[in-house]
Order: sequence, then C-alpha cells, then structure tokens
Amino acid sequence: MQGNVWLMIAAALPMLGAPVAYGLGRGRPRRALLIMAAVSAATLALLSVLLVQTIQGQTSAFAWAHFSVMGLALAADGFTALLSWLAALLFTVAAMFSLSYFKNKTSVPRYAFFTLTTLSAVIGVFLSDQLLTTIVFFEVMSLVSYPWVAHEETPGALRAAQTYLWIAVIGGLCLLIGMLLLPHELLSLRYSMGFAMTEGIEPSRLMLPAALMLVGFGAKAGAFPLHVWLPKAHPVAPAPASALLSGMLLKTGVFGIALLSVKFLREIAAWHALIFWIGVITMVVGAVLALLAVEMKRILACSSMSQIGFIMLGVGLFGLLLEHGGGAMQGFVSHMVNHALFKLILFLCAGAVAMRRHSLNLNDIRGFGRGKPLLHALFLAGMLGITGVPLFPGFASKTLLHEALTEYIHLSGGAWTYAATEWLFILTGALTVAYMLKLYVCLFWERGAEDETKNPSFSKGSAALLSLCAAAVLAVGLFPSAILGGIGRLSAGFFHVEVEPIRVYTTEALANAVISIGVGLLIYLLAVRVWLSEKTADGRVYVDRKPTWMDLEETAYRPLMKGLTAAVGACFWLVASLPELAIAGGRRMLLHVRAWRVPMPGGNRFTMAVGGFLNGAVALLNKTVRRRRPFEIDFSAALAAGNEELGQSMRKIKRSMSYSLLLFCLGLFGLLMYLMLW
Amino acid sequence: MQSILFVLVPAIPLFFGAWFLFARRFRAAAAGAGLALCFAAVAALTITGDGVQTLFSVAPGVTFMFQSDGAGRLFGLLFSGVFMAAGFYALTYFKHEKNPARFFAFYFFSLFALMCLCLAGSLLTMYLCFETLTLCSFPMVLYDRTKEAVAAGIKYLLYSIAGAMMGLFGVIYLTLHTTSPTFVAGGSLTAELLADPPALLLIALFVCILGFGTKAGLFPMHGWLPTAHPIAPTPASAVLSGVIVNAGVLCIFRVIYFAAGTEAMRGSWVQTALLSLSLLTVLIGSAQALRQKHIKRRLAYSTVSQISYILFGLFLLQSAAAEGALLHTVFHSVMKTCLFLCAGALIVYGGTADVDEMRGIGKIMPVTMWCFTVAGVGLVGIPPLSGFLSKWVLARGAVQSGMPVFYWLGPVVLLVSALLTAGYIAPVVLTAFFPGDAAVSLRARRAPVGMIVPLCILAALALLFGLYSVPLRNAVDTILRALL
Repeated sequence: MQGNVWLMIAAALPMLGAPVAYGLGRGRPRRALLIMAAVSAATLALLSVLLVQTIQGQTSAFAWAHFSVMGLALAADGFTALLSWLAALLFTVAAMFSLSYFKNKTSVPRYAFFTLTTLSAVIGVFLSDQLLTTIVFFEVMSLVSYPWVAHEETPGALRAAQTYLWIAVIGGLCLLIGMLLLPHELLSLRYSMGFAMTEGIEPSRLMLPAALMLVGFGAKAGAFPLHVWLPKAHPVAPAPASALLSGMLLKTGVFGIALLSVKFLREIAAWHALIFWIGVITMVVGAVLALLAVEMKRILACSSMSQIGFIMLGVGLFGLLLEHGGGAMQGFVSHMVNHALFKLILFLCAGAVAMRRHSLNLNDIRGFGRGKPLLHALFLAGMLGITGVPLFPGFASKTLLHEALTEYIHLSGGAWTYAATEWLFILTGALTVAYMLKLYVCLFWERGAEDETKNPSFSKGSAALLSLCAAAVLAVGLFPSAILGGIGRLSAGFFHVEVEPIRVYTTEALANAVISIGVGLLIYLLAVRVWLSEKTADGRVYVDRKPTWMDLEETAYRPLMKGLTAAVGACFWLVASLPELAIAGGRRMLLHVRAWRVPMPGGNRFTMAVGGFLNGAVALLNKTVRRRRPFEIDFSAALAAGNEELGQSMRKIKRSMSYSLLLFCLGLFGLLMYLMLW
Repeated sequence: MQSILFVLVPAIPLFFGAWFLFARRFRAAAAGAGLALCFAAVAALTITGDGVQTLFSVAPGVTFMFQSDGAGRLFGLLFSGVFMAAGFYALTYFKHEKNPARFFAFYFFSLFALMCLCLAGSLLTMYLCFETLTLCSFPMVLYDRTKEAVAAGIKYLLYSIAGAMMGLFGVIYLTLHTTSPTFVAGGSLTAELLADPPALLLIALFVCILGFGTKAGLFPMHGWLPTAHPIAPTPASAVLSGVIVNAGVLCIFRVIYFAAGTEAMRGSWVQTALLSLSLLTVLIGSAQALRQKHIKRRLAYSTVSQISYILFGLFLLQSAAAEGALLHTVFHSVMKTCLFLCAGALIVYGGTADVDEMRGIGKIMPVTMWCFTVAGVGLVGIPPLSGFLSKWVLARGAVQSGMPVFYWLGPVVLLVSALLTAGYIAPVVLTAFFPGDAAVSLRARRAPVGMIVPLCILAALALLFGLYSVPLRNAVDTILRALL
C-alpha cells in the first residue's frame, strides 16, 4: 500500500459505517438514520479537505497492488475530487432528509446499511484510477443499490427492482467481458498518468470491447434503449433514494462513458459519434416520456433520462471536437453538477408530497402546494434551473452545450444530420419547459382535495438544508462564469483540454432561451391542456395517453428473455439427456429389452404355482382349524406383487449396469487390441 | 520426519473411520479431533517440502508410491480443510440422527482415500486411490436407505466404475510409455512417442481423461452427479460437490501435466474435443440448474457447470488459464460447500427444500441467508468476491491463449453461464430477503450456532480470497511454472 491512505479511507469509511448503522439501529430506526447521516457527513468533511487540496493544485494517489486481480488504484484530481465531494454532499443531504421521511416505516436499518455501502461504491467509482478498480466499485454499486428500489416490497416495487437488478447484472457482465477483450496495455493504464495511445491498435479491436462496456455504463446512465428500468424504479423507491438514484447513480454511468471517451478511445471518431447520437435519442425520448407521464416522480425520472441525454451529447461533442472541446467539456461537466442539485431538490419536494398524500399521481396531488410558500419556492428553484431560464444555472450549462453544438456543425461543414440535432436540442429544451409546467401548474395552481393536515411540508432541518441547496442553485445561476468556469478549470486536467473563460449572457443565447421557452409554452397549451388532460366537473383530470407499445420492457425485453430462457433450457435439457436416452434406445435395439412396454401386473408360472398351492393350503385350514378366524390372504396375488416389485428394481439396476458394462467392454476391448497389436 | 507424515496423513482418517465403523457409541469430540488432526498433519507435510516414498511393489514396474509435491499439497490442504469445515457442521447436523457413527465412518474413509489420492506419486497409485474413493464415498449416498437413495448410490457406483475403467486404459498405456515411474512436472513421455505421437496415444489420453472426468461430471459422463449429490445427507452432499468432484480434476491435472505432458495434446483433436465438451457441460449444467426447484439439485447442476470451467482452463494448456482453473478449484470448493451447508440448514430448520417456498426466510434465518448470498454472488463472479478473481484469470488466459475459436468462444460461454448462474442464485436470495406480502413460513427457525459458524467461516473465506489472495496465487504460480 502506498500513497495517500486518506483516499482509501474516504472510499471505505461509509462501508465500515454501514454495519455499525445496521447493528446499532436494529429496532431503532431513528438511530440508524442518525448514524447514516453522521457517517455521510464525516465522509463529506474528508472529501472537502481533499477538494480544497486539489483546488490548490495538489493531486494525490493511492495504490494497493495486492488487491484482487490487478490491485486497487485511487487518485484524486480536480474533476474526480469534485464528483466524489458532490456525491458525499448529496448523500448527506438525503440522509438528513430521510430522518423526517422515514417516520414509522419498517426496514430502515437495512436502508441505512445499503445506502452507506452505495456511497462507498460511488466514491470508489469516481476516485478510481484504473479500469479494474472502477469496475469493481461499479459492480458493487449496482448490486447494493437494489434494496433502494425494492424497499417498499410492494408487487410493483419488486417487479421494478427485478428489472433494475437484471439490467444491472447483464450490464455488469457486459462490462466485464468488454474489459476482458481489451488489449493488455490498456488494462493497466492509470488515468492520472494520461490517456491511452491507441495509434498502433486496430480501431476494430477497441470498438467491440468498448461497445460492450457501453452497454454496462449506458444501462446505469439510463441511455436509450436500456433506460427501461429508470421510469419504473424511481417512483417506487423512497424519495431520498430516488434523489440519489437520479442525482448520483446515473452520473456514475455517464462518468464511465466519459472515461472511455477521454482515456481509451480518444482518437476514434466513430465512437464519439456513437455517444453523440445515443445522447440525442435519449434526450428526445426522455423528454417525450416525461411529457406523457402522469405521476410526479415518473415525470422527474424521465426528465433525468432526458438530461442525461444532454450530458451524453456533450460527451460526444467533446470527443468530436477534441482540442476545441473545452466549451463542450465545460458544458457537460457543469450540467452534471447542476442536474444533481436540481434533482436533489425536486425529488425531495416529491418526498414531501409523498409523506402527506401516499400517492404521487397528478390527479391525487392537484393543488397540494397551494399555501405552502417554502415548497413553492424550492420547487421553482429546481424547475427554473432545469428548464434553462436565464439567471438560473441550467441556462448556462445548456448554452455552453448549444455553443459547442453549433461550433461542431460549423466545423463539419454543416452536415444536415448534425444541423437537425440543433433543432432537436431546442425542441427538447421546449419539451422540458412543457413537462415541468405540467407538473408545476398541477401542483401549485389547480384546485384539488384540501390538505387535511396543516403541518409544514418539511421538518425544520430539512427545510434549512434544502434552502441552502436552493441558494446554491441561485448562486451558480447568478455567477456562472465564476462558479461554472471554476468547475471547468478544475476539470480541464482530467480531460486534457484547454478551457477559455465562459460567457453565457450573449444575445444569441438569450434569443435561444426565449425561443425555447416560447415553444415550450405553446407545447404546454396545445399538448397538455388539450390532449393530455380533460376538463371535468371535478377539475382538470390528467389522462395517461402513453401507447402501450412504447413500454419496451413489456413489449420486447421481458418476452425476449422468457423465450430465450425457455428455448435454451429445452435445448440443453435434450443435450443433457442424450447419453441416457442413447442408453435406453441402444438397450432396446441391442438387448431386446422392451423398456417402454408397461409390464402386465401379475406373476410368472412359478409364483402362480406356489401361490396356488399356498391358497389351497389356507383354504383347507380355513375350513378346518381356523373356521372361526379364517386367513384372508390371496397368496398368488401377494407373490405376484412381490415379484413385480423385485423385477422393477432389478430392471432399474440393469439399466445402468448394462451401460457401465458396455463401457467396461469398450475399455477392455481397447486394452486387448492394444496388447495384441503392439 | 516426512516419512512419518506420509504414514500419518492417511492413517489418521483411516484410524478414525475404522473406530467409528466398529464403535458402539459415537463421540463427537473424537470426530472433531480427527478432522483437525488430519488437517494439521497435511499442514505439517506442507512445511516439510518435496519428497518421494515407495510403499510396496507387486511386480517389477508395478510400484505404489507416495509423493509430496506442490499440486498434491495444495489439493491436500484444500480437501482436508473443507472436510474439516463440513465435518464440524455435520457434528451438529447429525445430533438428532439415529446413526451418526456410520456416517462418520465413511466420511473419514473418504477423507483417507482423498489424502492418498493427493499423495499418490504414480499413475497406478492414483488409479488405486481413485477406485478406493468411489467405494468409500458411495455409502454416504446410501445413508438414508430409501429406494431413491439406493438407486442413486448404485448409479454413482456404476458410473464411477465405468469411468475408472476408461481411466485404467489410459493409465496402463501411459505407464508403459513414460520414462519415469513417478509423476514428473511436465510429463515424461518417451522421446519417440513425442516425436511422432501415434493415434493410440491420443485415443488413450482422450478415453482416460473422459473416464476421470466422470468424477468431475464432464459430459457425457455427468448423469450420476445431479442424481447422487442431492440424495446424500447435507454434509455429504457438500463434500461430494465441493471436494470429491475435485478428485476428478486432480486426476486429470496429473494425467495431462505430470504424466503425458502438454506437448502430446497441444493442438490435437483431443484438445479440441475436450474443450468443446467442457464448454458444452458448462452450459448444460447452468441451463439445467435453472429448471430445478429442489435447492440441492439446483446446486448439484451448478457443480456440473462450475467444474467444467476448471476443466476448460486445464484443457487450454496455457499458464494463465491453468492458474485460473486451479484458483477456481479452491474458490469453488469453498463457495459450493458453503452453499450446500446453507441449503442443509434451510431444509432442516427452514422446513422446505423447494426454492419457491423460501419466501421471507431471510428474515428468520438472516445469517444463513447472508452466507448463502455471499457464496452465491461469488459463484456468479461478481467482483470483488473470489469467484470473480478466478474466472477473470481463467478468461484472460483463454483470450491470451490464441486458440482458434476458443479464445472468444470460451469467454462468451463463461459470460452466458454467469448470467444463468445469476438466474438460479438471485431469485433464491431475493425472495428470501424481499418476500413482499407473501406469508413467511412459520415453521422456520434459526439454525444452531454449531452449524452457523462453519458457514460464516466459509463465506468469509469466499470474500477474503477475493480481496487478498497473493500467497495462494504465488503457490499456484510456483506449481505451474514447472509445468508450462
């Protein structure tokens, strides 16, 4: 073990705290949550020190060569320290929020245990310095986050969790096999030492492994078409867990993809184009799904998918632009950070709603937010941020991405395919406005059932925490060049790229924002007010108009998996039984044993004779000596039955005996031939 | 010192076996002491280093001898260690059974045969021990004396004898054509045979490996395994699946790497055929396991599949693949024993053997199910558990071997099989811990401490080997460096 041990401690501390939280928290849910919050906060403090160090330009590394297969390597530079710090921050806020969220709920110690383990794994993913280390932590994270989704143990939750797990397992195995096929020199690459020189290697030798690994990372990021777990898992998970799933776990997938782009396939343009197009599709599909959804957390989940699309588009653009990619890099990195904050706030708002209403269907939560100024303000902070309204952080990051996109279109000579993505980009921005408006209007302006309890939506602690988060959002929005620019400069080392100071408040950017918001309003009025909802005497009712075929999981993946399993099972059953079927068939032909014919019940001549004799003797006795208490046994039947039983077991033995005899003879034959011929 | 140990290692289990066979009363403490003593003797032998000891000679050239080398000691430590863990579990398991002494007699006899097999210094000695092992272990299958148990026992016996006969053919051929009477690292085939390998050599090798493969459940000789393993009482199933199948692996390892040498086989049709058979077995085993409802039968099919991973690694004749194979032998042994012992606790104290009826059992038997989870997840090959390490090294070796077709087919099959493994392990774990609204079986109760402790030790080993296994890997490297 060498290097800065504090890196290892930061990654391991929550995992060590997990059994403590579980052990001391059994039967005392509040204590478990308190320990969870304390451990998360301690980790946050450690990582804050680390972050400050890296801001001062001091990087650190840690290596333990004897761990598992190829050792464990951790390193912290600006970007990775920032992400792991952000993870600890989100986990701490979510842990404090869960103190009020989990009142009177069971299985809380289990939740604390697995949340802390997940935190460890997430930090490990971000701080990892070698592919194998990344993947070890990534796999652990995928598995230990399962209890989040299954937490409620309702049939819906278990089904969603099943999907989550299988996508995680399949993705994880794809990751492993992809890594297995990578050339050896890439496996031992340390990220902190630079990026892989792939000039001498055939691109095809890299693309297949990378594509397999993309399955693994993309599934976790929620990229199309592996996004199916995402809209199902978020609504069933407890609100703090949803916030962490959206805010942090999706980012680990994106981080993995960025890692491949930056460190391994830097010079392969086809790869970057692939990421770009997956990003575009994910961005649009996510936004459309969000618009169609009628459940608060589902809208937010689909929105996360769409925002991940934005980020992946940025990753793709960065790779395509490469030395000019500073702007794209700043764009997607700031969007990663921004999105984590927005989704933290929005999902915790959803948690506050869920604590009172127990259903997040839009028709059940109409008007819930009326007369709740704090909830209103927090929600607005998240919403204005994510929709890219000027003066809020989403505007800055989306503008950076947009600028990078136009720059690439300019550089590539205006290919129409890429030009069209600019329109899709603006359209998705508009869709974001539309679905957030749908949620906002429903929650805060429409009239619904009166809130029976007049309790505040948040406990004092979580209100203060969330206000701080909202303040952070405002600060980032007001001073984008200072904060987001700083983040960009911090990350430049990881991406090996030069960055320029950012300027987001240009007339062009403002015009784009106005177009986007205007189109968004139009979509809201036309689609949501007219098509997706109906006016009834009871107020506005939101209708689920999502066509069933759009559920890829139900129409494609589950039937496919079922069919495949059945086919493979039947096929291998046949192969596995072949030897024994062959024995049975061979016996029938060679030895004239009629194994298939059901033997007639009854004995042979011998049993008949003996039985008849005994029967006669008994009859004689019954008539003479035992007249009072006659014997009532039919000896010929009994003997026949005994004979039958004996025959059956003999047949069973013979069946396998003949097989081994056959083989024995073959072996003997070979031996004799050998002895005679040589 | 070493010659004493050569006698002691097999004599200790033989003595205790004979004692329990004729004893009126069963003494648990004596059985425990016997297991520990045997392990200690093997450990002592490990320290003393290499050596050869001639036992007796029936005719010129037909000599039986013991030998202590790296491979034998590795397997010896593994076998006696796992036997000790399962044996301590059995002490509690058989507390309420009528006749523990009869079980332990054959348990010790099996250990005796295994120890002899590990120490065997020549092909003939190995063959003799192999047959002894079959005869000593088959009464454990018969233990229940039900109709199925008898049928399964006979199936086991006949398959094994047929396999041993096939092995004998190769053993005789190789004994006549090797220059050294003992095992030599890298093989000692005569020079003229190596220069121009006749077809009969390849046939003999193929038949021999297939024969010894019977114990390891290699298709098409795997039929007995899923029948016999689940029928036996749980500690016996555990050692059958976790240890005794590895006797087949050891024999194959000896034949290929210590008698015939790798050069005779490399690139021939024998290698191709064996590689194909082992991959087929991998798939058959896990696909069949997915269809089983009885938990022990599910695990038995899983053994069929996992052991063929090991054989695949050995048949590749490549150092990294062989290293992965030997590591997987150790790790699989630990994990599968743990899984079977957990299954036994679930059957006895959980009240059901059907995997669909185990809903919510994790809430009543948390420690047992946690051990099951750790070992099961390790079996799938999820990092950082030990199963990942061995499979990774093995698959990496397959990729590096550059064998046409197999360099990619092997890893793909391993991946598919890992998925299927997840398919038969995950539902058991998930329904146990996340039952949903289903009622929890009321008959379930906690397993006693005497059974829990061996489980925890094995599960902890399955985890720790994954995190840190440098000494083990060094030992395996030392063994293989002389071979390839």
